[in-house]
Order: sequence, then structure tokens, then C-alpha cells
Amino acid sequence: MDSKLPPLAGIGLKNEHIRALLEQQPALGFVEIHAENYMGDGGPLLRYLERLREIYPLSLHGVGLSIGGPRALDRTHLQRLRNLNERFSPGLFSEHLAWSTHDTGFLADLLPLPYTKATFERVRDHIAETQEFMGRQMLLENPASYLAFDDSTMGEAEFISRLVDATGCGLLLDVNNVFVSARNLKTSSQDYLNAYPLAHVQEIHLAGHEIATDDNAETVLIDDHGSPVSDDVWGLYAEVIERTGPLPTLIERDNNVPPLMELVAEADYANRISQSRRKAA
Amino acid sequence: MLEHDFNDGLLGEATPHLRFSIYRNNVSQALVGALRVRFPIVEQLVGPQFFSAMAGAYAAAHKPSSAVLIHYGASFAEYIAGYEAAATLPYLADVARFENAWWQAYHAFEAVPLEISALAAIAPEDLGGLKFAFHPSFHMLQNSNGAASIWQWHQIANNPAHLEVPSQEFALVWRPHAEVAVRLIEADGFCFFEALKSGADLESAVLKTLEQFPAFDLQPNLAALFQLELITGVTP
Repeated sequence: MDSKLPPLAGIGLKNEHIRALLEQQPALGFVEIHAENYMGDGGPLLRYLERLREIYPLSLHGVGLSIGGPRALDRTHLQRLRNLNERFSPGLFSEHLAWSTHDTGFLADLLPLPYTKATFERVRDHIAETQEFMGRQMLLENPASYLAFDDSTMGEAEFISRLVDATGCGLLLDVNNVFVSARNLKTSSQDYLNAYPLAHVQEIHLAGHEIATDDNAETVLIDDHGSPVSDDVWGLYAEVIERTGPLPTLIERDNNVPPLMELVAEADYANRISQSRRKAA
Repeated sequence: MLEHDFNDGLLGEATPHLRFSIYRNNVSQALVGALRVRFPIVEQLVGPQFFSAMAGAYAAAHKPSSAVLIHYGASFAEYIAGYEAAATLPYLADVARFENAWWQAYHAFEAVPLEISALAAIAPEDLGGLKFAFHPSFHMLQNSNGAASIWQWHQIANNPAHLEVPSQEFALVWRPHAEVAVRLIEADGFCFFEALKSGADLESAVLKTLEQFPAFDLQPNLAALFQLELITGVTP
């Protein structure tokens, strides 16, 4: 199967769906894996991924490189990413604008960073190093935010835009994260998209979020990937596609994982939105 | 520095920042979730609430050393052994050790098992000095709490009504091909395999086993090494 991802929707690969995917081979633009889940020495997961790779294009999505972290990038981890890249020839490779490693260990979440000159230079250097080491372009994903830093000197969209200019990286636009962050920080999704370099987007992520209450009894949206995509996010997705044209679009679900065909149905729904918006445009 | 503040608050004492707890919950949930995937039978035995509390306590005290969370929880069994609330369940730590071995076998390097015909090429006088390389996924577990039996029963039924726990059991866990295999064997065979695995040559392993088990029969046990596809190399 070709490496290149078509401008259609795909799904995140979950272990419990592997057998059904291999047997039923539903029509999907691609599958995406969390790279870290495939960093064992061997075993069934890697074997099954080889077989899936014969059926679907693949997107390699890292959650552990800590691009935004204060520490030097972990070369061992980069090498593991490079091994997967070489073995499975993914059409796209992405990482987060976040950090997760620390002197005392790995923190297992995507933590936010302030947007300052100092953090810009750090992230810029880390992206450049990653792209050089991997020998390919990286897509950078926007985070879901629950708080903003007082010491930020620029907005997130501007920060990302400057990173694209400085490193030549591409972008993975997580539409749910745009929506969640705007609600949580009381900003506007429209303003964000207007400042964001949409022309460099090569993939989109869509997921569900949880509506919770924070310590001050205020509503807070949590990017938990635990439910279907919300209507608000579908609406925002339609607006994005109208401006970018159809793009590879991932339906992400990491909690409360439903049967495979429910995710395939969500992917089909994304394709229908994408097609209708193209006609409208 | 920002990252230090964040880090201290995530797994240590919380900084009272509004919404900070969301990140702390995310970290804890990710780690507990990783343990849940790795130790499903431990969770079945104690129930999800007890498991969450025990795994959460472990996660608060043990940060992952790697971004590769499939390696997280290697010391969870030892933690359970010292976890006071689980002291009335002496088998729980053993079941965790068993699941740990299963997980390591699942993610171990690939290797091609050797067929017994490989022995035909060895001159009879060299057989005694023969050493065996075991499959990289191979684990041996011996315990008196019935952990392997408990694990096997839970593969079939979530809540077996009645368990007869053997007084001693000797388990092999390995992955000859795509899937992990589990086998309970006799004490003498286990002793023999263990000697070979620790690097003894065939003759020394047989002598060591005969000391403890005078009725030990070499031939079926030697054949079993290959029938079970445990061996990936022999060196004279």
C-alpha cells in the first residue's frame, strides 16, 4: 500500500480492533498509531501492523518526544521513532507542541508551555533536530489548554506560525483542541483560526471532549478522547475544510473505545462533511 | 522554573493553581490506565475500585523512566507484595508477577525456535557438553500460591466459583510465534530447564536434577524442550 495519505478520514488504531480490521478491511483513508505503543522489541502488535500496513496508509503519531521540554531530546527515543519510520513507511509523522519529560522521569501527559522567545527557540531547535534525525518533515500538533501562562508574550497561533517559518515543519490541526482551548481560556476559535497558518495543515484530528467543572465551579472542557465528536467540533471542522480543502482527518478515540464500525461510521461522517463543503466551495 | 513547579505539583504536593488538577489527574489516569492494561487479572481479582486505589498509590510513588509506557509497571508486583491493604491476598503479588512475565514475553524480541533434528548433527560424545539458548521471550515461574492456575482460570471465566489451588506449581511463559503460550510442567522438568537456562551444560543439568529427583527421565524432557519450541540455539 502507498505511503501517501489520501484526503479522507481514518481512525486511530486500537488493539481491540486489529482483528476486525484485518478481517473486514473497512474503507478508511488511513490508520494512525501512537508510536510509543509499538516500541516493544517484538511481538504480535508489530506483526499485525505489518499486515495492516499492506491494507492502509499509515500515520505515525508520537506522544512522548517532549518537543517543548527543557531537556535535550532523548536520542534513544528518536532512534526508536526512526526505526518505526523506516520499518513502516508512514505517510505522515507528527508530534505535539507540549512537554512530558523531566529530570526525574517521564510525566505521561502532554503538558503546556508558555509562549515566549525562550520557549520558541527551544521548540524551534527541537523540531529542526527531529526533522534532521528522522530525515523527514514533522507535523506539529496544537495542544488542548486548560490554563494560560501570564508570562506568554505571543499567542499560540503566532507561536506555531513562527515555528513553521523557522523550521519548515508541517501542521496537524487538532480541531477539538482549538475548540476546547478557546472555551477554557475564554478566547475565540475564529480568532485562533484567523491567526493560524492553515495553508500548512496536512492532517486534522477530531475527537470528543468531556464537559466538567473546575475548582471554581466553572465549566471546563477536557480533551479526553472518550466520546464521539461533538456537534460544535463538527461545525468548526466544516469551516476549516472550507478554507483548506479536504485533508486526511483522524477520528481519535482512546477511552470508552466503541466497536470498530462506530468509529468507521464517524470517519464516513467526516468524509461527507468534507465532500459537501468542497461542493459548496 | 516553570517545569519544576509543574513537575512538583503533578506527582508531589499540589500547587493550588486553578485547573492544575486536570493535568495531575491526566498523569495519574495515564499511569493507572497503563497498569490496568498490563495487569488485567489482578484487576479482576480485586475489582476496579481497589485496583485504581492501589495502582494510583503506585503511580504517585513511581514515575515512568521512559516515554514508552509499555515498560511501565515492572516493579508493580513487588509493590503489591508490600501493599498493606492487599496483605490478606497473598497470591495477588504472584499473579502480578505472572502477568508481568506474560507481558514481557508478549513484547520480547522475535526468534526462530530450533527443531530437535538439530541434535542429530551433534556427535554422541559431545552431547554432555551441549549448552542451550532459550527463546528471548522465555520465563519460568515457580510459586506456592497457585498464581498460574488462577491466571488460567480467569482466561475462561471472570469469577470462577471454586478454585482448587495446587500446593506448588511450575509454569513456563513464552512466545514461540505470534501469541504467548503458558504451560504448567512437573517439578523435575522445571528443575532441569532451570539448570539449562542458567547456563549449565546438558550433563551438569541432568546430574543436578537427579540429585533432587532420582526418578527424573531425561528423554521426554529433552524432547519437550524442542516440542514446546523453547530452544533457539545449541552450542557444543
